[in-house]
Amino acid sequence: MSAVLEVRNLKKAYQKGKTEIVAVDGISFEINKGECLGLVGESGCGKSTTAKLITRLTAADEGEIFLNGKEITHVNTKELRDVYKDIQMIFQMPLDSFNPRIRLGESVMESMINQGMKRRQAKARAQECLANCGLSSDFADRYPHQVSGGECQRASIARAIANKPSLLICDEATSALDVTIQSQILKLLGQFQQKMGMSCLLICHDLALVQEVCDRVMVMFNGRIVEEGTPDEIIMNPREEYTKRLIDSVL
Amino acid sequence: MEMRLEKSITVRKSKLHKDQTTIKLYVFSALVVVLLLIAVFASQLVPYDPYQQDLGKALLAPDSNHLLGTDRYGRDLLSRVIMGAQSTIFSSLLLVAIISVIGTSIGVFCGYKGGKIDSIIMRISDVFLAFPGMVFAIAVAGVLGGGIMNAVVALACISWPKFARLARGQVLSIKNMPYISAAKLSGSKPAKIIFKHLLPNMMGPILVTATLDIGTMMMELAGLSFLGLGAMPPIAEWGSMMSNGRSMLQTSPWVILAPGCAIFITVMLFNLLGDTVRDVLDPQTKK
Ligand SMILES: Nc1ncnc2c1ncn2[C@@H]1O[C@H](COP(=O)(O)OP(=O)(O)OP(=O)(O)O)[C@@H](O)[C@H]1O
Ligand SMILES: [Mg+2]
Repeated sequence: MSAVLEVRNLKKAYQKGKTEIVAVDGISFEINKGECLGLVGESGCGKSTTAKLITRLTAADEGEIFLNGKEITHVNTKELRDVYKDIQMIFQMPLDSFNPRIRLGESVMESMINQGMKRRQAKARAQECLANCGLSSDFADRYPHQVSGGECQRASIARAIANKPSLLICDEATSALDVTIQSQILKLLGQFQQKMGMSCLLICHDLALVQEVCDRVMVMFNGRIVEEGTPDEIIMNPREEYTKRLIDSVL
Repeated sequence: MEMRLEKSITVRKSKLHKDQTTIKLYVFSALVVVLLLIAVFASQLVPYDPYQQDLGKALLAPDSNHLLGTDRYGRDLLSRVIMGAQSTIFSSLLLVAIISVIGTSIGVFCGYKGGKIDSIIMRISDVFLAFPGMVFAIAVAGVLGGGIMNAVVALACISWPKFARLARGQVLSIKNMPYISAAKLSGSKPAKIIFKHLLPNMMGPILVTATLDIGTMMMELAGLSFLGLGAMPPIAEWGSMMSNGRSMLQTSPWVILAPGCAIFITVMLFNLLGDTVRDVLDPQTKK
């Protein structure tokens, strides 16, 4: 199996006054093609930071990231735009991930227009993507505050998959939604993952959801990956003390 | 059920409030437009030539021929006040436009870029903010010499930091919003992110401050002119007109009252407009 994403010894520390917070402390892992990898851990353990490092939204202090075999840790901003064809992200707060002054359709179109697609073509494609995510075409003309959280998250999935990325990072994409919508959104993600052979990094703190959709799970604690395995393995017989506590607290 | 009831009531209240502010907005905007029209068509509107001296008619009290009286050179004060609207209002609008554009650009640049340049420019703006503004403006205007454009430059030099600070703060609070990250992930270039995603979402407070500043800047320009550092005689400008009339306050008060009232009304109008713009925009910016 070929790895879509390979992360080696990634490190990031934040300076807070005089103290240094090591948010991500030398993690290494890889995601295979078509695989859904879960990343769980308590609040503040560095999950979002990992996502931001992989997408290069923040610069890593140390370590390397390979996307489809190509080093992307040090590419310049111009090449980075090419990288973003292959790697996309869905954010925790659906409403905040859309510019409040721009219609949803326009936001979905943005990446296609940036790649030189004609407006009309991009619009048609955006409506197709929205339809694939279960949103009728009139949602394209609505503003973010005119739709529900679940609908907004669907639109953000539409935006993320518009360019058929090979890796999708979901940073607690369902945490802000209620339980029924959560499973709908996850199902939708699962569909695309299978249809497009997309890989997925699912950041989550709900072990039950992880068990449902992930092929493999990593447990993160204090910036390190403390345990890794299939969801059943980890939930049934956790090796680390921390994982046991995590499972107890959730179930 | 009870919660629902309460919610519907508050919604209603805020709606009523908003309707009132929109009416106010229309009224004040209309008045400001009238003022601007007077300024634009000043030379057509004046009943007499505002620069025509006639010492035989000096210091006439207001009557049916000269509605606001005449000054010590016999020039019709109504004509001079109307003519003065042009230089006073347009120089303050120009000043506010300059400081808001320059200040916002600097603030956006600093906030977006961060790092060393940011701290250097912000320290410089701190120096400007810590200095008593009018004193500095007087010094600059003194160096540059008289003239209304020099007064504008002097005040622009000291007033941009306010907008730079404001814009920088806005950028810092918006910069880390997920939708900016999403735009980056869409492959948008920095210019597109700034103009499409950043600026439209931070214009509200800047617009409000700019509108409220028109009145303040008008006062400061008039102040400089009053001190003889702004508009030069014989140009009709309200500040210098007041300065000319100040020695005759007891004998012929209309000479100073006419431009004084003009400044008062205009500044108040712009301030009311600014307040209303804030009322209209604020609920949205809060949201
Ligand atoms: N921009 C930043 N500046 C300083 N410290 C930061 C910054 N971003 C994150 N941190 C710190 O890094 C640590 C990891 O943060 P991170 O957002 O990755 O946690 P998380 O695992 O995503 O938590 P959550 O489940 O609550 O989202 C936290 O201690 C946080 O305080
Ligand atoms: Mg997080």
